[in-house]
Amino acid sequence: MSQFNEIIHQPLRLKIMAALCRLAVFDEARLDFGELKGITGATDGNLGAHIQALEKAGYVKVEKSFVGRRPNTALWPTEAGRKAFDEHVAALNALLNG
Amino acid sequence: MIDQDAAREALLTVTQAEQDMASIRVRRAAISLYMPGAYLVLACVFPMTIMGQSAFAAAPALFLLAFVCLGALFIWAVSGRSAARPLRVQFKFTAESVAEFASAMTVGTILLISFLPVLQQSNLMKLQNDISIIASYSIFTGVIINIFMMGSGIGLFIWLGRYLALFGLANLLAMLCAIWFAATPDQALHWLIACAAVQFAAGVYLAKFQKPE
Repeated sequence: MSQFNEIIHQPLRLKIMAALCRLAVFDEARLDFGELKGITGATDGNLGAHIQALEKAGYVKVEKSFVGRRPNTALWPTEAGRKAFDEHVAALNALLNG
Repeated sequence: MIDQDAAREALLTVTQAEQDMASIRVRRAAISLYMPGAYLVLACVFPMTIMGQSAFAAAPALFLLAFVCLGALFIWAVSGRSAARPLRVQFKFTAESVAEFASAMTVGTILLISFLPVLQQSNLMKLQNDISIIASYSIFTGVIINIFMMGSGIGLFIWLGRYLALFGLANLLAMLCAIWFAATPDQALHWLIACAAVQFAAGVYLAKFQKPE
């Protein structure tokens, strides 16, 4: 039986996880902060806070680096994150499909 | 407590995020795979087809010019926003990417072998009875077909993404059209070069102008 996940269910975090889990291995399974910002439409601060919450839960990994002189934040889902997301989506579908 | 409305809304959110991801996937595919492939085809083969087999010897400057001009266009396209879209993501040399490349090559080769009987009966091969024509075109045709097969293989079989598959299908279609409908080897190559040109242009557009962010 799939379980709802309160951490993932928050709309912005759900969007983040959906985007990250949609990345195939071919894409090297990581998104940078700018790409996520474009997908979610969130502000820097808001997005950062939610990424932190997901990182704390162990659902995403974050890597900070520099590209030239500019800081770059890249993130990708952990196995636990993918599993939790899949279970949450399955639970949502189960609820809708009775 | 999550009710049905909340669940429906959440699933809609998931769908929207997945759709937004599509543009990023297309862009990455175009930049990391198809664009360099199309670049090589255009830079290497186009001068050859318009000038004939002795083009390398006769006009090396043309090849150099094609390489430099297309290379400059390529670099311009991918470097403009490299800070926001680090190239390391696209070109990172990892065990994973090598494995994927090897898988794609394998799939491409298998496809090529499967198509060999078709190729042998095709217009392209029939028109290549003349040894000199075979000598002048077979290597380059083989290279092009391999590149296109590889693209098709990647698009269709490696972590099937819908949009990657579209690129792959486009390649496959172009190749089949080239084989079946071209009246001469020249025409066959032109089909494929036209497809490469479209992909290169699409790559430039996606890399430089499309804004997923």
